[in-house]
Amino acid sequence: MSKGLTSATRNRLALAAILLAMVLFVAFNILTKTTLTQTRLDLTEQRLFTLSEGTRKVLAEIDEPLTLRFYLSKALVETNPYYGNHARRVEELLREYERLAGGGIRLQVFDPEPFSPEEDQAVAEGLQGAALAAGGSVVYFGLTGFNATDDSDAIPFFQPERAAFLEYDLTRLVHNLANPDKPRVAVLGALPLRGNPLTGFRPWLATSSLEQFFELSFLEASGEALEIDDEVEVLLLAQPEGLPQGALYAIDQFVLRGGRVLALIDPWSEALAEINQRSGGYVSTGAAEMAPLLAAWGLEIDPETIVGDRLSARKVAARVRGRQVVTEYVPWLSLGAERLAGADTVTAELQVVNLNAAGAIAAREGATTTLEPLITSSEQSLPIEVSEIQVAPDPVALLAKFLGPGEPKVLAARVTGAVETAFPDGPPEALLETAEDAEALKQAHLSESEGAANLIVIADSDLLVDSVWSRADNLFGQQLALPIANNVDLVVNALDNLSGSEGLISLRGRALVDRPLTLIQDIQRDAELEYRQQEQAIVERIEKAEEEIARLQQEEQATGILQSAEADQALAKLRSDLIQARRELRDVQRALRRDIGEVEAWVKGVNIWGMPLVTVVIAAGVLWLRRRRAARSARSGAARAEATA
Amino acid sequence: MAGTLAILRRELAGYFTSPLAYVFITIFLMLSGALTFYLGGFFQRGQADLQAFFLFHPWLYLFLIPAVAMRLWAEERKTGTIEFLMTLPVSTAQAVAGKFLAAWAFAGIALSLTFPIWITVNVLGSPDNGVILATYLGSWLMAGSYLAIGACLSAVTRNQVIAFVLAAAVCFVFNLAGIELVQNFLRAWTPGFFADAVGSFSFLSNYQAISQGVIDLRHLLFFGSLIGIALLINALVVDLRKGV
Repeated sequence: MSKGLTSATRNRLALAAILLAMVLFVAFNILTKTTLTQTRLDLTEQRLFTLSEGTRKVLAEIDEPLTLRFYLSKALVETNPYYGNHARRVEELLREYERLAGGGIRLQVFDPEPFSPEEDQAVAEGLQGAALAAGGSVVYFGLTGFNATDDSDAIPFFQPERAAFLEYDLTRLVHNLANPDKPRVAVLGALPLRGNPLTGFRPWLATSSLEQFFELSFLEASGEALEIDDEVEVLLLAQPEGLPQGALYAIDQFVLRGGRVLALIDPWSEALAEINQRSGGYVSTGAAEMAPLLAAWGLEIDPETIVGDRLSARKVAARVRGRQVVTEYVPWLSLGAERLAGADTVTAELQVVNLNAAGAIAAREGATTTLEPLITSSEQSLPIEVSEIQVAPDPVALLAKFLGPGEPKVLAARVTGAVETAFPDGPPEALLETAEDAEALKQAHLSESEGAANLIVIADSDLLVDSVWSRADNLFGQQLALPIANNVDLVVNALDNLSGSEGLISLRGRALVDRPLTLIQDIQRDAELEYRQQEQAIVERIEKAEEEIARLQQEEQATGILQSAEADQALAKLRSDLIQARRELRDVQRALRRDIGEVEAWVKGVNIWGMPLVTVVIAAGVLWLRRRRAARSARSGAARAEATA
Repeated sequence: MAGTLAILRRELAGYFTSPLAYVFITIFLMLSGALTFYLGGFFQRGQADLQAFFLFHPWLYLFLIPAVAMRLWAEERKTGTIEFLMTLPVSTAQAVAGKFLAAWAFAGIALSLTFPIWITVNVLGSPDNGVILATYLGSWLMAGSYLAIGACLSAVTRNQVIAFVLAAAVCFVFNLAGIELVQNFLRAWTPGFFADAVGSFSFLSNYQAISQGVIDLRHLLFFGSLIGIALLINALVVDLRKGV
């Protein structure tokens, strides 16, 4: 400050400067918030906030301009910063899409106020309003899109929970509008993908996901015959059960004509078992019925066994012998990226696939086709008889089976190569009998494929069940399914790949919400296996002892003869054995919890006390050193003073 | 620059000769660890990320950082060492920058000593380390903002307790600026753009945005400009109160 100013002036100037600085700060930040929009450094592992090549390609290939209408209620942004942040990101991303599309996208932004024409328009175009708890007014936050031929698509409400899937959702919408002709997929099988209004089962969530990409038609055999027309690009076999010979023949001929097939064939369909529960005695026949066709394609799936995999097993809560346990259920698998083929486009980008009671696919000897595994179970896999899981399966007993190493099993595979017919004698008799023109049928018969067949086989049909791949969430009273596994992506990728359109494959599989603590899981898993086996042995001992006691008592009652002293002794010994075994069982159960608790306690201890202790030790060391140095210098100073004296 | 560096070195070395710094670091590490596992429910979440750890930083800093900042100027003024400082061949601006940078570096050291939790989560699972890195950076920037505000207010008074309470209160306001309660209140009484502006000055919302793993220039500029302005005011106040 210059010398010429008085103290009062100086104070006044400084205060003015401080005020000015504050105003500057506010102005600067308001300016940057509104002008700088796309300058950011994306540090996430999968570059979730950076537009992928797939999106850029889709945007660059728009032929006819699309119109996107973005509806955002200001009231939502204003009252809720959580939604505000997300809304800002969605709008910025849309502007970026508009820019990259270079004229291919016209973006319009609306604020649909209550009772305005914009609100009516938003509702008419399929948006969902959400009621704000605070104000009670209805707010909108969604997108609709139109192409030149009046096809439309919409994102009814942008959920912040789906933030990681935002790019995928937007690009899918743009892609579908830019390419309105979807590949035609015919579905054949017993899976209730469309639900059943009579039984009250809702359509599966996977169905609407498939319909976003494919034009689905559902085939049914009429009598013996089944028509698969040439427009069908891919046939989706969804657990084919109860099909007549004629239908199997139609599938066979479709493949020989060069038709592509995605087959979900399961030795044990949990979904169908659940639906047929009431009728009782359900038996999955899909794998057995398809056996001749699979054989013709060079494969087999044993209809009697499914794959149990200890390392991929999912946790379940179950009641075992009256006790609630949380344990690994080996038929339910969660297969991570290391179990998925990294080289095949269908599985390369996926993170995890969940399968329930899947079968094992094996190549037949002398097969003319090539089998490339897409999903393989871990080396700790064992076959499990279907009969063991049919009625009230015991997860603990199944886990206790894993005594030694098993071997990896193929759960899904791509099959390519020349195939021969499964009907070497021509069309089946039953079909010929009912056919109008039997001669023409015989004429059209193909005995080997014209080119190479192209099939993908997954030995599980439960992978599309809602609860297997998604977690339901309720937001503003709306049901929202958040994927926890890439099951639907796998099926969509496979259909995309088989139909030859792969535009969005690179986008699928990014950003799953789940990153489990794998080490804790491993430790739990190993501890569980050990204790469950012990538990199983003890439980068997208890059961045997109980049976023996019951037998002796019954004998006593039936014969009316009192037992000898020895028999009495045996009974007493059995009883004490039983008590001992029960005690051991409790110990084992306690030990299981203790093992897991120990790991957690150790981790907590290290993290809470470790570094603070190190800091204290260092502090003590530093302070001690300083004190010693000070004392030494004081001593030498005193000595020097003495010497000079 | 040389003056700033000299002050920085002198101040930073000063921290580690007093037990206070070690006490501060120990409390910070223990609290952040305990909060992660008990309130944050690290194991209950079962996820390989550090959300449970970073979640509490804005609130931990709320009383720990003003405790570091309170003595920066108030102590110098109380003990009269400020007169000595001003006789050194450094300008006020250099002294302010040096003191702030030393305190910020100290906060950075305390923060980096939480590395065992980062190792832990990498051993236990496979977290997104980019997100963790970004959040560490965001946390450190936020600590810098708390510090700059604290330093500025420490220059206003020679009473450290008052400096602490003022800094904690102002930082609390900056933290809360974005939450729904405050926003609703503001919107009822002020024009919309004002509430928008206040909302965007929230430490919480800027920090949360960075902790998603994406560092947006706007959030960097927010923290940077806040630190810059607070230090500028700090220098003006020090100048103003020279000899008071």
